[in-house]
Amino acid sequence: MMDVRTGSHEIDILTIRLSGRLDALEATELRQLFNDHLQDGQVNLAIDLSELEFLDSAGLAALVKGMKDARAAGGDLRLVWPRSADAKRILELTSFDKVFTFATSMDDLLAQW
Amino acid sequence: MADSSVLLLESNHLALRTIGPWLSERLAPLPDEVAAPVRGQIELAVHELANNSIDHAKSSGLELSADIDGDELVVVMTDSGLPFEADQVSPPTEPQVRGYGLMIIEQIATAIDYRRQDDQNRWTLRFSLDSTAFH
Repeated sequence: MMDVRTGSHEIDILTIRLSGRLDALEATELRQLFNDHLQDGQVNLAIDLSELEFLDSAGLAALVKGMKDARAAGGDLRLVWPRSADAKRILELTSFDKVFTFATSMDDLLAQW
Repeated sequence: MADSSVLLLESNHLALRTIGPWLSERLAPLPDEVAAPVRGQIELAVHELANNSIDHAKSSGLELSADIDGDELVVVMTDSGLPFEADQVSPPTEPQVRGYGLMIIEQIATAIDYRRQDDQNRWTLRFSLDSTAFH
């Protein structure tokens, strides 16, 4: 008879909510924030963009850098979709909608991790 | 009195936040159902162009103008920064961290013209005011 064993484990995921504008002015601070958490061994980052109104290429670059660093450390950086059509559009224009893992809510993002 | 269609920006990232409100003023003559769907995308493209001027052309300041031309908005940006070298810009390879500004502009604007005149960079971007052109 097949031997089935089940188990569960918990993973530590840091959740961060961003709102307003994520542009060149804010990107440096966000990069530092990601870097600080990764240095502390926090390699799973769930970023809620649902209340983000404006995202530019510098903000996007901060998210991409965080994702690459998190994945290199064995974790990931995943995103909750922005509700703003304009903020969502830049992710589609750059094809990063196919690179990041997304969910429509933080609950869904954490549940599918 | 200064022409209200012209926006002078200092060369810093905080100054870029005035682009959105300025564009809203420029689009104000249009019905809201025309301006609202396109305003955010046009702001993003102009923001990226100005950001490139600050980060890559190292300009000390820049000037923007915007005029409605039929069913298009024409935005002109001039700066006295370093010349744009098209052959030094290549589309990013995913998931590269930098280099998406021009790619974003090219996908939003319907036409882009760049000229170097009198030691100045002059960019002309044309945007459709038909929101279906953005999707």
